[in-house]
Amino acid sequence: MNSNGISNHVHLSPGQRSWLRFKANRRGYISLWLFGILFVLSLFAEVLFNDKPLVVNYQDELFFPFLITYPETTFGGDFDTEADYSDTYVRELITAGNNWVIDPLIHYSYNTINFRSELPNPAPPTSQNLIGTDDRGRDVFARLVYGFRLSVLFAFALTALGVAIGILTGAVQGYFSGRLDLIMQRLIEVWASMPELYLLIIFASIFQPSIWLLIILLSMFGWMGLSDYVRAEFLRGRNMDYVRAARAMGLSDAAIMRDHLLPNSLTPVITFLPFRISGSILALTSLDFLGLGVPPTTPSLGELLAQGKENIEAWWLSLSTFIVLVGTLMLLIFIGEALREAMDTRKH
Amino acid sequence: MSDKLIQVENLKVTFKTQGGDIEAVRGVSFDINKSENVAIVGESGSGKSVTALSLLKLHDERQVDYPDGRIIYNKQDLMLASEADMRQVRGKDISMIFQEPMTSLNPVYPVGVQIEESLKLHKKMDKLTARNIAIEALNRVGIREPQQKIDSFPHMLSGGQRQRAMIAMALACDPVLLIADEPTTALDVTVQQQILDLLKDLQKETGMSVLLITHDLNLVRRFADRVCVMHEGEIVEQAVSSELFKHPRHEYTQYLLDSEPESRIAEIEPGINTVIEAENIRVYFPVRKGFFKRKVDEVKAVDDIDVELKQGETLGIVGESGSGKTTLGMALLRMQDSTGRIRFRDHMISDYREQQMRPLRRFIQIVFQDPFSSLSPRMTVEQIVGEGLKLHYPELNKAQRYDRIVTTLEEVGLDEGTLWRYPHEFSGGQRQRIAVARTVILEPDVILLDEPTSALDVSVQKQVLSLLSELQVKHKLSYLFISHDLRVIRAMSHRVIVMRDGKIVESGAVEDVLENPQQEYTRELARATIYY
Repeated sequence: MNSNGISNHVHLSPGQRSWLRFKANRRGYISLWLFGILFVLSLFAEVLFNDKPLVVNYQDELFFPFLITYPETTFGGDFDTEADYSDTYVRELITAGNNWVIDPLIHYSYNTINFRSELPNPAPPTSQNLIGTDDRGRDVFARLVYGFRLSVLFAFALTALGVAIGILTGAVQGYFSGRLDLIMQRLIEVWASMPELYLLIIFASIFQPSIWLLIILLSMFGWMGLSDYVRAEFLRGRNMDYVRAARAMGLSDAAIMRDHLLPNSLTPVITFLPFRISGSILALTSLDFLGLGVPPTTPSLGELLAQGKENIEAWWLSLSTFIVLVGTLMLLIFIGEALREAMDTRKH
Repeated sequence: MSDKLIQVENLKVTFKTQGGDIEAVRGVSFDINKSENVAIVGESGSGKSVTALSLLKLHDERQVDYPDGRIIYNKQDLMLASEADMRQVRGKDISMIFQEPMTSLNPVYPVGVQIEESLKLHKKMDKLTARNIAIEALNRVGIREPQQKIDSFPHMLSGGQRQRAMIAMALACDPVLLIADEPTTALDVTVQQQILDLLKDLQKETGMSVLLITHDLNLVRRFADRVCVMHEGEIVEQAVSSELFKHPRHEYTQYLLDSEPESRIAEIEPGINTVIEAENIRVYFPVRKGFFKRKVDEVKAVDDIDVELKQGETLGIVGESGSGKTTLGMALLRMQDSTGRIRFRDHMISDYREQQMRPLRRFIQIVFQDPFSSLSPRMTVEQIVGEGLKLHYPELNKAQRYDRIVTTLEEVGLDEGTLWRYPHEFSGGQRQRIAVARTVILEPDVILLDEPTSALDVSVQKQVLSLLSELQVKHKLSYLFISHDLRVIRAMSHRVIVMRDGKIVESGAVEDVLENPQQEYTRELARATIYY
């Protein structure tokens, strides 16, 4: 092994070097950790925020109410309906004698209504509801956490779909160019001139609004901006000597596109990635705000913002949602920035 | 009165970068007399262009520092002059022409407007006088029909005409010093000579001085009165031109003079197999016009050419830009649609479809001119060199592949430590070695070398050529060697084809064609390239 020049990189694979470059951006690195922790915690929201206990030991038998629905009669109650664990009578039954209960951190799920609150809804922060309740008496903290999870998952799915379609069409257009490119480009222009918001409103009234419908509708329109950039990169790249060298080597079209053109065309994809993710979160939030988004019971940041607008004096609604939104978007943008630097092989 | 026009004393230039200061020029002193031609010669990175730009202080002040030095012009130290004073000097007293005339002329203005601009600025002329002077200037630099050409946009002129227009622009205000930074590098050889002759004529006529910056020591042989040889930011030798070429004192100057490609023609045994045989190769590009894209004309890029290449032989294909030499090479590799018959060993590859060609591709490889664009910037050396192995030798496992890659890299003079590095971490010569390794690892029969040394410094050029000829002997390779440089062709080829406008002008054994050319065009080429 020689030891001159850039020898400290000698043993590192390209992936490891990218990771080093990512870590060199402190802000992005810290943001990734923060976001990672928050996101992983939110994935386990059912364990942390739930109105049902995690484990109940009733008469030396173990029950897992947060996973399985048990009727009240299981615990010696009167009704065949599901046990209401916040009810004082049920509480007494499952804690009497040797019975014990492990409760989640916060005793509210996203749609648990706090009937025991003495304050009118929306209620300001109390020891029961740490960030208060919304206008239906649901815990804002729980709704924020579930809403954050849904927003992020939604954004990831929408971005992944949009990027996949955008890269695919852009790559095909740019690489094969000519007539195929011409026809596809015209189709894209026609498609892009359709009024997206109108279509959303129309579809929202025809179909039952759901998160899946939103993903499908939004990703049908979201890929076009990216496809233009990828197409341009492929058009430029296909005439480069390294592509001709790859052809002379006998590589197939698919292999040339995958191994040679794609890695060199990712600059616009990576550059726009953080903005696409935050854009998706914003899209969902604004559609929910307008009431065109997810169905009413679903926890959503946009719906909370709309409530904040309706109840302008209930500062805990709008302020907390605002902080969650801004925080998420900022972390994502910082991570995206670091990712962009990490992908730049020219940097040390 | 001294006849010193400009004196440069102990000039130092540093570039400010994040990684610390880089000394580009370390204490350079020289002077230029009135009506004198001085040349600064050096390889890329020697600081010659930085020195030239410093005379006019054209560097971005945020990036460049001048820690020391004086530039005395007209009893004034330009180092201390204000930006406003500098503007009076630039373009009026000292003007400059650059390497690439396409990018140094503004594409959205006609050339006339760009020539008039400095006249209006420095001589306060009105539009009509300026235009007349501009026409005269174009006439003076040898542009035919200057009345019409003055309204042409840069893209409508040929490379030589553009450089002439640049010179007209630089000379419009009758400068006392013209700085020419690689004025001929981007031009064809025959045009290069014309431009240098023009500069020399104009210099005699106007009595200005010329500072010529170039990497080509031989170019200045006939041109310069005095030569400064630069190496790593210092002038290592400074002498009267005739003296320098006769008795180079510094070892670096000797090294540069020795870097002239010497004959490395590989010995081949006579009467061996033909590898590639092609007949009546034609590549016509249709010229389409109008709404329905009707074919109105054809550009005959390659017109009825026969090629034969034997095993272990080098066939030189020489011609100026636009002569169709690269197109011919691409057609022979079936990378460009063509008509005619091409046979590779027992395969009539002109009838093969792309699918059928693919398994054969490994036997016919390419090395390109520009080592910066021929290697994918996102792949490591291991990936670049190993890619073909994965495809054509799927039976090798990871360890075997790794061994082959390391062996091949050693063969081209690179060590194992380079495996994880990316192309941008290498110099031009090293990149070209990687490109060669990528082809050799596939054990090809034929390598198409498309100007493999044109983008390299002369000394590196020599190394790459000797590597190529070593590999040729070792692996019995056949080379199709495309170049505009007769010196390189003469050093490497057994036989040569001279091309012009898609046709063969002359062909035969290299010594016959180049030493004793039968055609006027070949003679002209030979005269322009080999100045002795």
